[in-house]
Amino acid sequence: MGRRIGRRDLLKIGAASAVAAALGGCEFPRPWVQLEPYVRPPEEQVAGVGTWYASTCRQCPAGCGIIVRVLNGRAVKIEGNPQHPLNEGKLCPRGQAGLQDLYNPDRLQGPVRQAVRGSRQYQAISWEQAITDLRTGLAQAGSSLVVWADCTISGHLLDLFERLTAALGAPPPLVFDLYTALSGYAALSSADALLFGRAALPAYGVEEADVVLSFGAGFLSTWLSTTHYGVAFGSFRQRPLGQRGYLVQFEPRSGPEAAKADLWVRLHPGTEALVAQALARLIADAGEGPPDRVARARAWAPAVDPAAISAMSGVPLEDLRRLASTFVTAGRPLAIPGAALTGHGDAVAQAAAVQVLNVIAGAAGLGISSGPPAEGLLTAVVAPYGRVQRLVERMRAGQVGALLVWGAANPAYALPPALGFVDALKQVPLVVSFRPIVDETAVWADLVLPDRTYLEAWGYDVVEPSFGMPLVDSQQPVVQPLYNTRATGEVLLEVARGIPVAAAALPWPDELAFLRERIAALPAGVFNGAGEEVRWARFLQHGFWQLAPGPAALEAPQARLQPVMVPAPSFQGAAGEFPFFLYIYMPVLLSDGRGADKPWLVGSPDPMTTLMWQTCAEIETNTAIKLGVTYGDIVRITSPYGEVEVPVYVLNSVRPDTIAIAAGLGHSALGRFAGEEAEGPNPMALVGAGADASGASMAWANIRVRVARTGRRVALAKFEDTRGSYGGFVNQAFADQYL
Amino acid sequence: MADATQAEHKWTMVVDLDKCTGCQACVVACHAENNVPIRNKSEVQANRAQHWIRIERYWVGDPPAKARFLPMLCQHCNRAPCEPVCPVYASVHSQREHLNLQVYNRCVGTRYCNNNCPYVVRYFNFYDPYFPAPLTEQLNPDVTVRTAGIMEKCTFCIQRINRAEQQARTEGRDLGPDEVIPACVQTCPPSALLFGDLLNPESRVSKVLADNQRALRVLEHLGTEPAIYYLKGGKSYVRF
Amino acid sequence: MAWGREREEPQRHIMRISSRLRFLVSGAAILGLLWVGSSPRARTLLAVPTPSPGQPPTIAGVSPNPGFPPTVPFVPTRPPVPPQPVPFPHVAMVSRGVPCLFCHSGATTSPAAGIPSVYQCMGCHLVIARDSPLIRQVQAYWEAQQPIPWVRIYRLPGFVQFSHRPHLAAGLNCEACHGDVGQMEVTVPYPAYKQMGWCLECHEHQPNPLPLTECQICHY
Repeated sequence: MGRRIGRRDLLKIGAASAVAAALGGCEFPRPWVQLEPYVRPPEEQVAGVGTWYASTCRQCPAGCGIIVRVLNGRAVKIEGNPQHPLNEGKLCPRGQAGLQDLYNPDRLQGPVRQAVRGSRQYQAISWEQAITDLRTGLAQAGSSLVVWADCTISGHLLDLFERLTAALGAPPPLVFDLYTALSGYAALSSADALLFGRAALPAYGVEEADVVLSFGAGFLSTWLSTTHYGVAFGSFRQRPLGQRGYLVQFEPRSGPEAAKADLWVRLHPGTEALVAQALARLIADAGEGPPDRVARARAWAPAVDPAAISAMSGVPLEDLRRLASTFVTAGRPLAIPGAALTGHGDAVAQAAAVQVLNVIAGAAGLGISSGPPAEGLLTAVVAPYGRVQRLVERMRAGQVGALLVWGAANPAYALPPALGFVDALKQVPLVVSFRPIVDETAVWADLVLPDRTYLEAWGYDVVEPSFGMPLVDSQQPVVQPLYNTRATGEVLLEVARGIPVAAAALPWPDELAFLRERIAALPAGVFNGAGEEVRWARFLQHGFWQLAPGPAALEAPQARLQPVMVPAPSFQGAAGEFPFFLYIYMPVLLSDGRGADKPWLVGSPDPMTTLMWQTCAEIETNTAIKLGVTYGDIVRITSPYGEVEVPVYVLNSVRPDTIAIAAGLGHSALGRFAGEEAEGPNPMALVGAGADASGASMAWANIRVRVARTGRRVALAKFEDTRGSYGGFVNQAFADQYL
Repeated sequence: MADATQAEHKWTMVVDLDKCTGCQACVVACHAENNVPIRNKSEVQANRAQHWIRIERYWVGDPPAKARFLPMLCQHCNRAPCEPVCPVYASVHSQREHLNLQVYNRCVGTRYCNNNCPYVVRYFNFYDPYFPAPLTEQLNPDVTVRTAGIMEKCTFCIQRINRAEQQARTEGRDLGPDEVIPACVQTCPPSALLFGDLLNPESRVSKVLADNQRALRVLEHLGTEPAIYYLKGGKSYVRF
Repeated sequence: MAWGREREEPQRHIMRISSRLRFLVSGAAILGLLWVGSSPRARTLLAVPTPSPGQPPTIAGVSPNPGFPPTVPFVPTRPPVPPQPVPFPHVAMVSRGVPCLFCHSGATTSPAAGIPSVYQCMGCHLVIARDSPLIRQVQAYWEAQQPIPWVRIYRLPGFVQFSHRPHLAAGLNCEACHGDVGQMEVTVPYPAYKQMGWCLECHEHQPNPLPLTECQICHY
């Protein structure tokens, strides 16, 4: 409506408690509005009373169960599923914001074609045309087809993609996105494969631990499973008999974990794994603690010099000794490898070095993710970064005939520009995006065939890490699909019908038939029933399937003794030219950037900086004084690979030699909220194309940068200091008394 | 005006400062449940952001300072400073629920109530809300959508309280001890937020607050008698 | 329009009084009124009658009413109702014995009573009176799978949260608030329906009311 909305109109639109459609109110004089009944109402819904449907959140790969309140065919609130063992009725902020994925105003309303890549001029086409184009492209590409999916892909869709690619002789789908890259999924899996013989994500029993050493893990913001670790943290702080858990965070910057930690060790960037090795050595040398732990330490601890590591990391040797002693004498100690230590050096060895501490501690608190509970159910396994590098080379060499990108993978945004992904796209004849909204990769696509958002889609998800209990989540549409979108599974089946070699591999009439066939393979679960119909209904009703008779103890695998050598940290960029270390982290609301298109996430205050719509460079107080910058000054941060301009946020909780920048903004597409309203850098522009020594991860955590003033300023959109006086400093006595 | 003698429920919230991780799940859940608008960047830069619950972050101690989180929302003071100053009785106290109410249709936008609030938890709609279609579909019909000129603040999800009471009255029973859960409390992953009826000895807040050495109220010396108790951070038994 | 009138030439025999005398006369009049007004008898004449405790205040010209049916006078300020897409006559249904809850079934279980879906209309009208011109209109909507775009008659302002369920649970009839809809051809709004005072009056006089003394019962 063009006219300014007056008070009564908005109150009408917003607060009608009956079956309402105020959209037709334009035609009638106020206060009369139109009232549209259902044509054919769903059986279980009562007008004016919400119906709750269970599904799975897909804002991150954790797979928390959700229940969605649907009122008159509209989804109005998402809550955690109280029955779900992973999140127990709780939900992190990203899960709560899922409705703004569904109702995002910039969603595509149907398939479109872009005649000139990068022009952002999209012509609406019909689905028949879209499928024909896709089919032609796939038939031509044949075995040079590449499918790129993100970590939240439903198991059944991944299955369909795998069958399609196998039928065409193409390599299996590549699962890679910035969320798993900056969390170190591939390195963590490989570290477990190295030590325990099975590549799976580690699952840590924080709720039962009493001492947790977290080596930079953002487990309360964005790492593996925010909600589950949040729930576990609550129990951790309130263990029985007044035993409050003790948390130590090793991180050059203070995130929420360092804020909650009892001891925050502000160590030199890149030395987390070395400190872990030093602790193992100190446990072995000191000989105190339970004999079995000391014995394991003596077997597993590497030959390192704790004094040298102390000098390198900046942690006093005495502190290291006391930490080692605390760890080994604790009842249930736990060490958690973080994200940054998987971003440089030898990521697998570094993650393994921290896991060694868990091996020394004995099985208490350590767990490994269970595998899929049934044959035929797939989990998305994150590819090592080396595979991505090879793919871009193949693209550049013209060996990729078609690239299909599904979900929030967004390689044009996620990958460092130094890798040259966008350039390499020029050599790919057909680029298709399935994301419901146009992102940076879709800007360079020929076809965008929007999938349904997860609240309108079917699927299953094998929960990984599953924390000791095999779990399969169900996903069902909670509302009628809003627009003329089609589930990508349906599109694939339709496309395959026209390609003879693929038609045999994908014979199902629709994706729901395929999905039900897969789910029928599940063994007896907690919610059982006679017959497949009943079991399918229960699967949807409860939102998940769990192995009966109930959750088992966290599986403690047997470790194989491995020499784990962690190299000394080396940084990209000469120290003279680039005096600062770059620390990239994923904030809790924006995560890897997929939260930036939702006003509830990008417009809510960040926990540490309280900024909304902006991210900044965190610079330490004295460093800022030396540089001559203050809050809001825009500086140019330059690395050996690129540069970004970013406003400054001054705080004394980051190391003086480190600049911390949040991932998540710097979008040039992804709708009005992310692309136009929000302002902030994409720190991946500062990262180089290289991988770590093992090839599992991007080398993103060992970049050096320099800072230069630009002379420009911007008003910081912050919440602190605008309401009362919070944001300021309080002394320790005050905090002890009131906080 | 605010005596407890005739009250049926004394709604109380307990915030465990030791557990709050600052994740902002409560902030987002409150926006979703109560139709609180997100202000755009220029409005935020004009210091006019609106978040009914906010996580205040304090820097503590000598550098490098560590952060501490304090969730701050309307304290539903029993002697609320915002109530006597409203010229049109839009800010009133409920004797049955022990809540500070905001009646939207009465508010004329004096903003005296926000001026008086020592916790600064009242938010004035300086602008109309911006919900571009189809974001309007997500609005909760149980809560009025406020336009410019109206003061708003946390209501302890009065719509959920009313719904639960209606349900209980229709079924001819009393409210269960933990039957009412505001949106923020429901979503908080570490369960740092608890909510319940202090007059019901079976409720979780009654049990948590009984003899709790850690409990305190913010700005208690002002005499506002807030309904929210904060459990200050603890010390570990582990010796380091 | 002129700024003012020209001063008329005053008639001599009245305006011969000097200003000082005018001042003395008006001053005396004011003092006289004050003296009269301070006497106890004047107080009874001039004062607004204060109600005795427990009685509602009386308003001159309006007789106290028993509260049901409510009779608060209402001045309509709305434009007339636009025509309905199908001129649905309630009397046709009710005179044949169809109860309100058959179509408006949400009233006992939900805040909203609801409007019947096109599916529900067709449930009977696929066979009943299928050749009537009005029913043909409904059938046309069903065949097109389009909702019938009714004009909403009973609608409280956006800042009022009203729930049907407790009112029906208390045994209230639909006619009490919606008027005698069962006799109406085309639904017309019940005049007094939209004023809060009307709700308050009814609530005051019920045997087991929810006293609407607390704003949060309806306004949140």
